[in-house]
Amino acid sequence: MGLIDQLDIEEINSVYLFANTPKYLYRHLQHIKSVQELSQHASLQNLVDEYNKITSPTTKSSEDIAIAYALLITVTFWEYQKALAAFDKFDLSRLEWGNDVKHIFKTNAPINTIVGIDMKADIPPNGLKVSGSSTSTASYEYTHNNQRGGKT
Amino acid sequence: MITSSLMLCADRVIRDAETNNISAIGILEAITPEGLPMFIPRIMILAFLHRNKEEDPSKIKCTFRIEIGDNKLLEHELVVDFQDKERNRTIINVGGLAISTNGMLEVSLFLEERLLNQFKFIINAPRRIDVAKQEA
Repeated sequence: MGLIDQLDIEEINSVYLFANTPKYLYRHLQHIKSVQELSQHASLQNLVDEYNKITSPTTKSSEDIAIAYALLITVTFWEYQKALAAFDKFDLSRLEWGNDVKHIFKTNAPINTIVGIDMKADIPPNGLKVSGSSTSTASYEYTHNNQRGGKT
Repeated sequence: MITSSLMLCADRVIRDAETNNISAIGILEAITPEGLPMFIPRIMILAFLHRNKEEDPSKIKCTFRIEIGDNKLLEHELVVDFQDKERNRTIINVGGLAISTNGMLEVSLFLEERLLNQFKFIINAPRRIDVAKQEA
């Protein structure tokens, strides 16, 4: 089964037909389950091959364009740096909003740093008569961006 | 220059996985304990940081500190990674804080020795319970 066979083409097409802005297209294609699922197992090379095939000037139909956008959106679920590098492999100029998709991905949101500090209070046997300075900490931290589950 | 446009402490700071929007619930302003010392099981700190891409490095080492009066309750170093962006939202989850005195609790974020931002909230003196009056 090819990559495109795994996509819900009817749903993708209807989103594309209704899309009046790149942001609308981006947000609504991200909601499509088959696009989300494809992002989990499709390789970059396969995505680029399919993209090149359906966006070539001879075969570009409305449905092909919708699918091409869905393939681009697939990349947006990947970890940030990997996705950013992947966008460079696509010829974004073949789609009217190709560069907009990349731009939305890049500027959608800033990076988040999340730090957790677990306090292990050194409580003496006679109760909590202790200042906070005698606590030890254990921490974790990670940085991630706007991908679902993206984490570096 | 690295700057911080916002800093706050709340009961919960939540990031929406889909939109990446941040919500803060139960922003701390004043706490009146039943007695001291007291233990706050969780404090979440949110700080918005900005950098100039041309001038500033993508990774910086910050220190955040929680103090009440002269008493340093917590100090922790953290690495903030902007990656290729200009903005970073830092969420710090402090899993418990023992407070032994009342006063102004200051949560500060430093870049080396420079104060980036600070949030203060008050720990009030415990309420006096008149036991004799209650028994009557």
